[in-house]
Amino acid sequence: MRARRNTELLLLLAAAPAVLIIFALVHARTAADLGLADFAVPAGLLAAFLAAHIAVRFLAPAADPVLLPLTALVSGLGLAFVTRLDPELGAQQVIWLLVGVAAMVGTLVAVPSLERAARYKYTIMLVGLTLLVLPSLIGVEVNGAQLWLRFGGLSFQPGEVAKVLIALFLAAYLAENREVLSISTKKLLGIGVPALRHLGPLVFMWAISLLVLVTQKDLGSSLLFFGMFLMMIYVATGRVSYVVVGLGLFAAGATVAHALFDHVQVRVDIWLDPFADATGRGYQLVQSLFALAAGQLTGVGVGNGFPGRIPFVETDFIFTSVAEELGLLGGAALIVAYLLFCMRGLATAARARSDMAAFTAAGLVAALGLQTFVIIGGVTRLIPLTGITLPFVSYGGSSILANFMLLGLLLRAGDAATGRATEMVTIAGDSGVLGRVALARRLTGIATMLAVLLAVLVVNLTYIQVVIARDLNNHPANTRGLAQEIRSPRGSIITADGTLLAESVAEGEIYQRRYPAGSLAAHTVGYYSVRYGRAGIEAAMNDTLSGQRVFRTFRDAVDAAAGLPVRGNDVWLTVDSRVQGVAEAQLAGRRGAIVALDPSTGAVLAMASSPAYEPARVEELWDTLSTAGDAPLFNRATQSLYPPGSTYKIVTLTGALGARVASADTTYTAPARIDIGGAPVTNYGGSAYADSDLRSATMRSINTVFAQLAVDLGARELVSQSERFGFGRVPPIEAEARASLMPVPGEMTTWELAWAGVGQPVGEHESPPGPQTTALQMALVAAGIANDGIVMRPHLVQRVSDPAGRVITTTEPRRWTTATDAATAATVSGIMVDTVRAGTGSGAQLPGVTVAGKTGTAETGVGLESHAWFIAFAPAENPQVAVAVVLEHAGTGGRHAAPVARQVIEAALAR
Amino acid sequence: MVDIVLLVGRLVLIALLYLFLFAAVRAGIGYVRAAGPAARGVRLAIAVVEGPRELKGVSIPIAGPIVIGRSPGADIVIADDFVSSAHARVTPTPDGAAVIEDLDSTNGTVVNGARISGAVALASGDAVDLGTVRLKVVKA
Repeated sequence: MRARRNTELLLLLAAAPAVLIIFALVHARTAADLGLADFAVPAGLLAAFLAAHIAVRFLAPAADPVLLPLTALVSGLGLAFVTRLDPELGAQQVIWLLVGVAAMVGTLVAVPSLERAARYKYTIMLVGLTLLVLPSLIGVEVNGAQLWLRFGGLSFQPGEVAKVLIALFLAAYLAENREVLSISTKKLLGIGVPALRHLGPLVFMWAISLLVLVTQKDLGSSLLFFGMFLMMIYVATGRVSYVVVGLGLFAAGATVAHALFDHVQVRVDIWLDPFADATGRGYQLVQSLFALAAGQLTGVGVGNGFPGRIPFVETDFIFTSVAEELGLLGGAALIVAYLLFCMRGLATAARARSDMAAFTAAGLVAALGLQTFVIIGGVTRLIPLTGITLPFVSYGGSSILANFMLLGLLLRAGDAATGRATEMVTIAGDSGVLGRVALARRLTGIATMLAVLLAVLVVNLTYIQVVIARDLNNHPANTRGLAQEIRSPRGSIITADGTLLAESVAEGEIYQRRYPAGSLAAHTVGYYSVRYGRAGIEAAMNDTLSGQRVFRTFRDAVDAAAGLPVRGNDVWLTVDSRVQGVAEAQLAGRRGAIVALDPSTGAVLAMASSPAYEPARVEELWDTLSTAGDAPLFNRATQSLYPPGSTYKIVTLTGALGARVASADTTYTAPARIDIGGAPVTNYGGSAYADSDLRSATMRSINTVFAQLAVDLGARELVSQSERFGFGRVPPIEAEARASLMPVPGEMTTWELAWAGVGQPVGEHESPPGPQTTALQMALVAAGIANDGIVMRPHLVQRVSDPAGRVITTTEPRRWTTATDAATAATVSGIMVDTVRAGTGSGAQLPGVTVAGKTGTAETGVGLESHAWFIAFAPAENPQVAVAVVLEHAGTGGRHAAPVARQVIEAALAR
Repeated sequence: MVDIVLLVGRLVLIALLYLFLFAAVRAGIGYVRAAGPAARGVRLAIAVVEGPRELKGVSIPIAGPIVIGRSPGADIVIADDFVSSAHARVTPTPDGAAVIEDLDSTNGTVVNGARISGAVALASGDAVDLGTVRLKVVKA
């Protein structure tokens, strides 16, 4: 007996360091220095448990030595977390724990023998039932469940204590009647049932408690009581059929409850798909899952989590907080501690003195084990959530009190035990003997079941915290990332020539995003808002800028694991601030877009969209910006689809020359109007020309020639030539972008094909009419011709460097598509040079530089000005820059867009 | 720096939690083993040699009292109308042997062909008949 108590003392002392460390961790988060006084609470708690240990030495010297230290550890952990969540509740919890320890000692004093307590079983039942019914009569409703009694400022949930009393009553009743309950005297539906006289009180008890629980809407407790009944009956009678019938009854009851009660349906719906209403009814569970996923294996660290996001985190959801901050390892340790508690309780039952003591111990263990399963399973979405406390850990006086009484009774059962070598005492005369071996077999069954249930919890926890953690962390509804991100300095965004476009500046605990260059390259940079999300490079390069996924050094990985802010990496753009500035100045006051890129690499030198916005003021002006008719948040350069007008003739021409359908010298008639496919195609302004070859038809942009050429080329070839330039695919650029469109060739009429060849979409069919294209795509067309027929992958990011300036990655130029062969590209290039030298594109002429270009005047409807287009590259013999300009409703391309392109080309060549 | 200390603290905490649980499990195993048959020098077991199918192969070491009867609370449950609900009991003796006693059964307990009254010592190889079931004392 002495040896047992010494073991208990040693284990208590072994639990102490863990409890002290967790308090130190909690404290270190809130205060800078750690003094001895800060350990007053855990030291006091441990002192209380040492006092309890001394009391047990006198009152129950032969009790199990593991139960008390386990309780000390678990309740110490619980107290630390309640304190971390809410210091005021923590202070109350300390008092409740002290009261609980006193209640445990009190229970040991008040119940010197369980066998004697069995004599008062009906009194115990009455008190238990009264406690259960009381809240329905004079209780207060909290969160839709009427479970609470209020005395002055104290609230009390009597159902918790009722659980212990009802377990006692059941144990006593079963001990007295187990023999008659074991024997079937009648058959009902093929199953042997004992005489109703003996079953009656049991069924009555069962029905009353379930009824009360259902009327009080306390699903968790009714589940718990039901399970406890079943397990105790199994231990007493050894009949599996009771368990099977009980589970059947439970399934039926659950179905009926689901059909009848809204609150049950809601719970089940949330369980089935919490993400269906992630911000409403499913909020609590979804936040719990996100918190668990954030914890992963070793947790985010005490004090680093976001428990404030989960309602009722200090009671029902406290396990989530533990597993978030201590990870799967911490959460699993807690579950193992409960499992161990259950196993010691069942070992106590196996060596108990009497059947009464054995059943009491088994019943109390079943209650505690099931309660743990129901609440942890609920918060981890293994089973539908039912509000119930986590024993010894959750905040709550009645729960603490009841569980310490439970502990007291277990210690009493263990102290009175006689061991397995002695025959068990039967408390009532008319029941036969209960063999030790028979009892041990049944207890093994209970132990196996509880072990399986708790093991499933760990498996499920592993699934959430390890297997699907990544998916949950990246879930669209998960805003924890943003909340976490603003605690870390984000990387800067810098242009190729060193202009700082975006940076993070510390402001107290968090970092603010600054945009020193104002609206320069606004659509490329994008914006960054905790409320409205991200756009542009801020979105596309988020992982790099936030530095969260890629750890540069081992030190970074350690810092991230410690919850220390990791500085993000800097993003260097290909954009040149001077070219960008010129492009934006040209667009000022207009609507439209400009893209300038290096044809040999695909590097974007400038990308402008007008109207623009100031990234720094997006949050403030969100409502105006997001609803304005001219859509300033929209990046027209990559997202707006326009009819390309005559700039598309370059695609038609490339297709025809490449397919050998025609050569530059092939001559076509060029009337002002020509009927193709039963409808007219007309020239711009109604001009008629003499028969023209393709070179002069391009220079003068004659629609009727290109209409005939497109028909000669055919729909299939025209569409596939477009696709060779990149149509039909989203350009792989670090920005929100759309694919340029062409119809399905089979759906195109001849007339439509003729108009498509001159860049006007007129089709009406299932597939989109085409061509419709973005400024970026047309710049890529020009770049493809400039680069000997090869379209390089467009990109905005030149390199990524770490905060110390070391380059981490550099973008290597890569081919995106092959548009045509070099010879065809050279021919088209020559024709484009002629167009600027002596054709419609003369507005783009630059002294000393050979500019190649093509105008476009895209008609947009009756009574509306056309979109002015110009695509170009220069110098033609060694292209350095390719440009596309589109100005909405501005007029002709030659007059309005070509001079704009000239300015941009000039700026790009002057770099 | 503080955060690194906290990280280390957290890992130490988790390690301590598991060390404690390990210690608790070991203590628990120690007590179970101390109470187990091997620790107490159990040398005999009682096995069913003839009887209904569900009892085939049943063999229980005589580590504590073993109740044989028709009652579901018995350790060896024999569903036979000639067996009383608590029919006989086998109890280990401190020196590692065992005794059997009849619990005032209606049809009596027969050891090696002789109906017994009062406690009778059992040795390895002894045959025990209750109703139609034959048990045998074997070495554990």
